Amino acid sequence: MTEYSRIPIIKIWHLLLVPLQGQIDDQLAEQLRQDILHKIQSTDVTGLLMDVTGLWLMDSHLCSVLSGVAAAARLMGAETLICGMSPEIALTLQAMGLELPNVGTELSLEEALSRLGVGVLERRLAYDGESSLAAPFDPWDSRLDRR
Amino acid sequence: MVSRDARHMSSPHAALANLLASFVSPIIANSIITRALRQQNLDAKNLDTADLRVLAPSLEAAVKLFVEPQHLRAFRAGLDSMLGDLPQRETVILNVKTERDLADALGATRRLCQTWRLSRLTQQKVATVVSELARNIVSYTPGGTVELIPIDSGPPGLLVRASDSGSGIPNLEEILAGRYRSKTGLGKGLLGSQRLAHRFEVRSGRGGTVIEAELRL
Repeated sequence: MTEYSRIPIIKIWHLLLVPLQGQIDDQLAEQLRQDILHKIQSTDVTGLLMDVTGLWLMDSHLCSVLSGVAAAARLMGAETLICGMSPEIALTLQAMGLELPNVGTELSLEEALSRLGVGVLERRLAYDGESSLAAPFDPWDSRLDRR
Repeated sequence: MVSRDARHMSSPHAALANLLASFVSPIIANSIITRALRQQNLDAKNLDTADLRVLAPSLEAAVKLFVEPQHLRAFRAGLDSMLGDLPQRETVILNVKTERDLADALGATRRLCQTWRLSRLTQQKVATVVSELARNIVSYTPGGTVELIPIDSGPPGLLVRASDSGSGIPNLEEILAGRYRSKTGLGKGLLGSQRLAHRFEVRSGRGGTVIEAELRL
């Protein structure tokens, strides 16, 4: 491998998370395609999550790049989901009649994760009368044993 | 009113500082200006009134953090009156030849949209049309230009005109009728731009292509 793209590819359990950001030109798209497919092969994941929150623009070219990656990923046994699309981008794509074949979509990263089988085991630990957000997590807390 | 005084100040920078000073403390006013200048890559020394229009969105975003909503409106009014005397919108010509130019053209389009205070959806549509037309030039022709021409007569609009000296678009009719299917995605961008535009016109021949897409703002 000579050079890695500036877009990180993060492995979380059986999934790959790719937070897309900035301008994605031809060269970067090609690099990303290769990196993602190699990573799928070497890590044996079953899902690919592409987060587009950081993208300012999605045009027909980018749509075809993403669909291409998804089609190749499916051949390698990984399902692809896209999440984090802004209302402006969604409306523009719809007005243009552009579609994302081979790709599923979810509103947020959380929903995409849960569709691919990752979720929080217990949403909140029941602390007596306290907000669970305020309470720091303590692995030795005896109350955890009651689960 | 502050805004009226501000207009008579000597430099735009001093006028801006004066306007801000009546809403926030001098230190914060200063840092808001510095930050906005840095964001837009402008120099405080030779700031002219046209630059204020570029700075306006950054300034507003920063001021919003420090003042109450009712004062924000007064600040906007002050800023508007400083901008009021400026020539409103000017034609912008972007040269497009390489992929790098494409990125620059999109950056310029984005700044322009913010300067003109277009809604986020309109910004998205304008930038998408520019992106599609510019990409066609980069991918299939030796080079060309994309012009952004404001339309002031009638309802406000923007004319995006993409011209190139390539060898013309084959099967144009099929593309615009939506019958064309390609592996590369070629044609979808043109069709999509047509759907986003209020008026869309393509003149293509062996000597080159001119595409005009008119968008409502």
